[in-house]
Amino acid sequence: MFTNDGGMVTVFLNSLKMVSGSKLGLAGLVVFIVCLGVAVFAPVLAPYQPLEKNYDAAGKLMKLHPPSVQHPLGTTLLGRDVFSQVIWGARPALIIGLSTAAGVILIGVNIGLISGYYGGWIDNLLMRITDIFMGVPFLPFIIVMLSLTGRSMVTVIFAMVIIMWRSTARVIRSQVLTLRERPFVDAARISGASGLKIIYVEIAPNILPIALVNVAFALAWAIITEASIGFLGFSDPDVMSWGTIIYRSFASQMSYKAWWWVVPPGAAIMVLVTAVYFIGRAYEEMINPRLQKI
Amino acid sequence: MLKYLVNRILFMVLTIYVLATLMFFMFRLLPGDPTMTVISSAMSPKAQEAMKRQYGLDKPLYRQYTAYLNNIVHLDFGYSFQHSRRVSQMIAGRMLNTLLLILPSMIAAYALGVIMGAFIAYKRGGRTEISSVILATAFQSAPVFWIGMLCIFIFSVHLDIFPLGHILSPGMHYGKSALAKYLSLDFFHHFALPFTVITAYNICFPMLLMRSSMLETFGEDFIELCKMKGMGEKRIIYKHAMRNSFLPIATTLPLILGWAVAGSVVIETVFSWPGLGLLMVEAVQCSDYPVVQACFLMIAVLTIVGNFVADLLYGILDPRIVYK
Amino acid sequence: MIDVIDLKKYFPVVSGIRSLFSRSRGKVVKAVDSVSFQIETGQVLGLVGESGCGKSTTGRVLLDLEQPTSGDILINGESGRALKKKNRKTYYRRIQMIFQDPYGSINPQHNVASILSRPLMYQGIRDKTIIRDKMLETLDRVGLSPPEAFLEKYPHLLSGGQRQRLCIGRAIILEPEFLVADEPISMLDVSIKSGIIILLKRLVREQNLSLLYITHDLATVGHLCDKIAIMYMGRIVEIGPTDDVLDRPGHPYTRALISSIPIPDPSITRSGAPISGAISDPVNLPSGCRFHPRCPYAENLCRQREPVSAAVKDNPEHGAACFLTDKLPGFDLTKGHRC
Ligand SMILES: Nc1ncnc2c1ncn2[C@@H]1O[C@H](COP(=O)(O)OP(=O)(O)OP(=O)(O)O)[C@@H](O)[C@H]1O
Ligand SMILES: [Mg+2]
Repeated sequence: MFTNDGGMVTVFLNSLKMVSGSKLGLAGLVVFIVCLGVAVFAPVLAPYQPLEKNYDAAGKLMKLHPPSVQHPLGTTLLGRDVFSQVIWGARPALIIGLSTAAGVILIGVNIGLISGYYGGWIDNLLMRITDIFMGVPFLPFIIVMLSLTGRSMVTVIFAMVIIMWRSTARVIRSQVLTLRERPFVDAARISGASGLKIIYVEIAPNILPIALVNVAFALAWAIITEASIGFLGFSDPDVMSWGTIIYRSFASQMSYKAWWWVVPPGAAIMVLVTAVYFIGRAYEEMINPRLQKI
Repeated sequence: MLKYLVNRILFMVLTIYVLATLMFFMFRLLPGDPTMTVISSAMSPKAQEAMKRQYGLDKPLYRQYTAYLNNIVHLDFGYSFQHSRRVSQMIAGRMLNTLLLILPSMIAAYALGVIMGAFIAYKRGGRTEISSVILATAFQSAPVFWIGMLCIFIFSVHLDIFPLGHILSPGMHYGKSALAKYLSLDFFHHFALPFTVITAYNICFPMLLMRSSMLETFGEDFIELCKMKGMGEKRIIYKHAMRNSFLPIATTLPLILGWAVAGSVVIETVFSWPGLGLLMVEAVQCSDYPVVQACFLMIAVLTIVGNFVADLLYGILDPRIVYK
Repeated sequence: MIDVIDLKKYFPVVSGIRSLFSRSRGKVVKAVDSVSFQIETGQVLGLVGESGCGKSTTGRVLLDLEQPTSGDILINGESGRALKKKNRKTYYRRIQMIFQDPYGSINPQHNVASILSRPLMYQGIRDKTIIRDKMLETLDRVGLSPPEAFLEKYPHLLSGGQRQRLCIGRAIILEPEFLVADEPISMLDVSIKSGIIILLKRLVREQNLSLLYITHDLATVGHLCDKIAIMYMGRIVEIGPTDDVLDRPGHPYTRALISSIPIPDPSITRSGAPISGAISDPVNLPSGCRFHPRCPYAENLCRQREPVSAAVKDNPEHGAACFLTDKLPGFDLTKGHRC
């Protein structure tokens, strides 16, 4: 979509190289890859099914058992293994997070590009729409939407994308505003390039680094938001996400008796999101050398 | 300036109108029919008709829409499905509770965040900087409801310093005066923990931003110039670098304010804080749609007004901005 | 043969909805005001003037980067207006431009091959081998050799001079009939400037094109230009063969410009008045001749009426827009300014 030089792949590989140049970035990258691995190999890694009820030798339901060798992170009120739930929880977190980030970038970048390049009434219209979206309280909006449409993963992603593109669009637009004044845009125009060609061939590759930074931040934000939706009980009830685990413990009013039910899923969110932030920050510092320590 | 203000206020009204319209059509057109929750098909057809008439659902859509807008202008959100009370009565006090929690903690977070950010930028390159950056990022990455639950677990359940939640202890009476209620020790006792959690959570963002913004300013030529002029480093930081670095942070204020108001939904749930967010979550759970609509619009109004105030503040801070 | 006819470009001082309420409503900057000139095939016209006089705007309007207010260009007899209307893309096969800034006018994300191939691809050429041959030929022609070594390079590896050569290559790869070069050497190191001038001179001869060479520096035009046009506040005040204009300037402004060229030899002093005062307000133009507030010879007539171009010393090739051309004191400029 961007260039036919394989530029996009090059930029992406370069960015990985740049990120791993910083210690924190490298650490983030490693953690993120580990999380990806956990999500992919969840069926192998998890000792139990996430919704499986566990009984002890005497055939009694293992209600709220503290951590033990069999159940390294204890069990829930319904005798489910917390460790397995946390392992499986990496899947919805990453699937929802990555799809949301992709959707956000796709919409945000395109609106930013078109708005910034064409200017005039198109820009005015798009930016007023963005401003209106800025006034939408995102979590309440998502809750209302989910309560009206059903709670599958797809609707969760859709609801988040609808709201979250707004800040990306603004960031990209302000970049495009300066880029479109650069002489190489005039040079492309007199080569016979159409408006769309100028946007996607000339300008887009130059905002790719900023778009990538935004992918990281959108991903982090999407994972936390998805957890909040889960915590409020609006996630897909059949999918054991980290937010949903915390919701179950909170709703059962046992969260303050069984710490092992609450701490691990929250810590998992924290570790994954921190890793994503570190990756984003490291990359941001690389493309904006003034942020580096002097 | 006056023209700018008028424009800006008109746009605020437009935004609220658009959101209200959005709500109306979302509730009417999305698959889940909210009226089904109160008008059960088990009722006799006659009773169903009567119910529909009572809620104005027998009229054509556009009449319902104009009536809805008219009611909103008069701050009339109808009756709650659940409690048979006027919705406007239910939300008035709730809004105040939300503001009482969000505003002080956001102000504290920004003030502390800026100072701490400047401090770690001053300590650049050292251990302090690295460890604060890591800590702040990790803290910011944790879901705020989880941090709230951990704090309740430690400070309320184990150490028993703070109450488990709510805004006042049950059964306490403070006479008719609301002021006495909000100035009572009991209130502050309940307020302390959620306030601290929100403040601590929201410090991270301005702090990290202030740090990078300061580092950027340090690189700029005029700081070099100050050094050449022989100013002390502390003086440079406080007089020049901080002032210059503050602007980019001020631009983020509306965004963060928006997050905080919207995030009140989870925070109030964790702390059982009787604000708009909690009311909304409860109303959604029992499909009390008039209340949901009203809460959503009120939270939106808070967000929008917050954006507006932040914009004005920014204009005051940045002398380069001239209102046209 | 390029024929620019009565080209005008007026910028509104305020634009958009705000212009309905502003006090400056309807006011314009006449950046280019009735500019006409001709360039023979294989010849170079130098367009010279102070900063802000409208040189770049003239070039940009010709390339349709700004909408002209009025006027037209004939490229070998064909109307540019009609060509653009028929197909904007093919218009750019006939006219191309070289920009001032060799750093800003190259997209940093594209390598040399894609910079050079884009114009061809936009013109509908798809054949990979044709494109490659054309690119190699062009690189060679602009002095980037060996051409194969440059194809895969990204711009940040190129020096300023190499970048400008690449820009020239991009402009000539479509074999245009008319080339506009907007101060192509002003941002380059002194040591490489003459190389670019020599390259341009060779290309004009080899490719049989017409070149409009825009510069604010009179000292360099002698090497390259067959004719020069002197521009002042949107108007061409003097135009003619290079030698005639430099040796027998018919306009006080031209004289002032020539006088301000530094002379390498300190023993030579110059006659003629140096320019005084600053350029006038472009929005509220002075009455009569635009140059009169700064002109040492200005008379009453100059303040009242605007002069039209007239032949200097009965040379029909050489025109100046001044009432006083014949009355000006003798201009004895010691040769040597054209090194
Ligand atoms: N897009 C524009 N909008 C409004 N005014 C403009 C615009 N572009 C140029 N101008 C005005 O037109 C006049 C001529 O500008 P132009 O750039 O053509 O000058 P120039 O001779 O190329 O100067 P320089 O030597 O500095 O490049 C100036 O007064 C400028 O302010
Ligand atoms: Mg110019």
